[in-house]
Amino acid sequence: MNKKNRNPQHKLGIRRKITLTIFSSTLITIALGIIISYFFAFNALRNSLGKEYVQMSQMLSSFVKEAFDDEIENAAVHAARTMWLEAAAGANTRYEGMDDEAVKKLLAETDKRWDKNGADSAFEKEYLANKISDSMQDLLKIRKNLSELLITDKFGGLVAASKRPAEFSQAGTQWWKEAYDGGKGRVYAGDIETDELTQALVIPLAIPMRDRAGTLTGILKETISIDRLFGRLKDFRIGKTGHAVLLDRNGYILFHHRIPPMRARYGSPSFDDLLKSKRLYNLVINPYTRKAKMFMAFTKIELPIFKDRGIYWRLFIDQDAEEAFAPLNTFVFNIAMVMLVIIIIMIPIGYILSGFYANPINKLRTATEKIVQGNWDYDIKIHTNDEIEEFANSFSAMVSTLKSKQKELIQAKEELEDLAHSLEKKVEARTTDLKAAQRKTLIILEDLLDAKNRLEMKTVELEKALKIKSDFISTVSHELRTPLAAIKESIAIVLDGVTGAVSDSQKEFLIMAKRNVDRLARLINDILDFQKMESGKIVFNMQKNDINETVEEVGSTMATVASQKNLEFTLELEENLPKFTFDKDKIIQVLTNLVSNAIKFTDSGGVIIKTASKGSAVYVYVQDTGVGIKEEDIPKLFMEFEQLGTSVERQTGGTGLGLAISKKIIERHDGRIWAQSEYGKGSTFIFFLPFN
Amino acid sequence: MDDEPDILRATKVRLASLGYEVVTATDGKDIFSVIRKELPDLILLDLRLPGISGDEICINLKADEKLKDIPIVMFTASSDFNINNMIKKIGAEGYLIKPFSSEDLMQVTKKFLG
Repeated sequence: MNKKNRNPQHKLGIRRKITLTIFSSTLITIALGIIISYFFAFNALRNSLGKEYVQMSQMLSSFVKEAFDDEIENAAVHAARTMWLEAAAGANTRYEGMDDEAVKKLLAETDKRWDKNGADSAFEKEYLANKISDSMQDLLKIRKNLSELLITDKFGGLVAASKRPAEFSQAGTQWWKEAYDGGKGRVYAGDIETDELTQALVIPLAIPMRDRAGTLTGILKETISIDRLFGRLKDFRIGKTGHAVLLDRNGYILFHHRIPPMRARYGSPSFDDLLKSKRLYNLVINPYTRKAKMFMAFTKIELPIFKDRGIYWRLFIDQDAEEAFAPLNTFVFNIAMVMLVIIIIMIPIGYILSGFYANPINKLRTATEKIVQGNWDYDIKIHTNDEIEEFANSFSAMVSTLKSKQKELIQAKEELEDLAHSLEKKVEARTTDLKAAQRKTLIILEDLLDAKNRLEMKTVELEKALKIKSDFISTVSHELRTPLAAIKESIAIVLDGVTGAVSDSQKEFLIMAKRNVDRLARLINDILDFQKMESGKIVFNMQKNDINETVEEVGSTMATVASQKNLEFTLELEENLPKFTFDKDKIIQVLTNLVSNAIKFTDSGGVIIKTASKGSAVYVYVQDTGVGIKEEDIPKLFMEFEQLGTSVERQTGGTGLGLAISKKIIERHDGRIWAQSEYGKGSTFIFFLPFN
Repeated sequence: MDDEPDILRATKVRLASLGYEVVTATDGKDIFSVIRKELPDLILLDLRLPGISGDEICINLKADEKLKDIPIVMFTASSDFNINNMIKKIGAEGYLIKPFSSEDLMQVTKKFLG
């Protein structure tokens, strides 16, 4: 994606966006409007259609009721026919003087005769081919909806019939028993049944016949064909698919314009819901084909004559949903068309309107392009009297500020360039210098490495030499000790008079021998000590100790020695010094050495031991008022076998190793030891031990 | 016992002057028969001897049921190692470092013999 490709697209960007916004908001509003109005219109249409169809079904059901009532009324008229009444009364004379048993016997006997005799026998013709039967045939010709007529006497015995019944006595049939009603007599209508001969669906009607006095004379049975009864429903039609349907209480079809009766049943979940709902209409899945949707409305038909037996029918008006709701579809289609027109009109309007926003913005863009090209004085002419004009004004202000800032920038840039140029030159010069220095450093490094290697070799050699030296010293010292022990003990035995009396002059020389033997022993011990210290063989017993206690311990043993020379001996200890880790025995050794040296070289005055803490260390001072040390000798003090003033040394029996050993001990404690002295006035030996 | 006759002599004279009876030996081979025969109250034993060494003798003596109760004091010219540890290890009761003084010798003897 490069700039050249993007720019042309941007030229129409805002206009397109605004137009699109107008278009899409219109579209969304319309779509929502259609959906909502469809929903409301659907409900309204369903309710108005439903109510209308329910009314129609009520009207149709009243036709059915009326037709049925007419049939009963007609039957009552037939039952009151004088000729038929007389015939029944005449038949009743057969039973005169008979009790119930005799009547039953007579009827049973007649039934048997009825079975034995054929249809054309004289016995049967007596009942089926008389003038009553002829009048019945005549009536059936007029009344097409009647399929059969039959009259019995008061005990169920046959009087006359339009066609031959299976039995002579009808007293066992349900219709007779219901209509007879224990002698009281009442009108009875049976449930729908199939006629044995014609296979048509019929309803049996039974009417009690009474004489003028109201006495039950016989029973008239009429069989009504329901085909005729529901004939009015056939003519009913709404549009192309709207029909009337009559169902019995179990949903079996009693009447349908296409489906034969009592063969099929209506039933689907939505249909069952409709039957249960209070609203008597709804859109349901076709309860017969169970495929398309149907709009159905119904009325319950409860005939008084059936009511006590719970028999009722339902009359439906159904119509294909497509047809029923066709007006709704037309309505929605029309609305959609109008909306489409509105949208088509809105697009150019939106495009024109968007120009109000896009044009000044385009002008601004052109201005920025000019400024980018370097035309700082380009005048932006926008007079829209809104935020865009304000924006253009502040933009102009910004441009003029930028213009002045740019001049400053160019100036600053030139200065910076000059600076950078001179810096570059400097850096170049420095780089050259550095490279030369680097070469020199490398040469020095190589030399150093050489020297280091040589030094390492020397160190190894030196370590070997030191090892030989220390081994030698160790062996020699041990070998010296044994003869020394013999000499020492021998002198002691003679001097103690074990071997006999010793003269004073003998004693003087024996003491001299003893002193020198002791000195020799000390010398050997010191050499061994020093050698062990140097070779690191000595293990220091580092423990928490009190330095003042240590000084006091040395003080108590050395005080006696000092008093023998009439010297003052003083301790000046700083109180509350912390305990810290050091080898007490070794520090005692150092202190003893320093103090005994101090006493040794002091003839008048005294010796002072001081302790003081400074920073993280304790400082110990051993100060005397003795002969002092010459300045040039001070550095030699701590070297091994360096003794100052040999004559004094001979007198005092020093070994020349004491200070060297002390130095090693103090250094092993990470401390330091040194001396300060003024020749002829005294010396001070100082060491410090860090508090770990 | 010691392999140095001079030290043996000096020590014997010193202890005899104090009233003790002293038997000496220079050879490690004789030492056990001498000790068994004399059953001394204290043995002074040099650490470094030709042939069998002093510490070995000490260990053997301490292993002998009859002799283990006799106190042993070791002589040594060395201070190179930790003498205390060595003494404990071999089971000796005390030590003297050469050259020892008469006072040291007398003190040790008194300690074990009263």
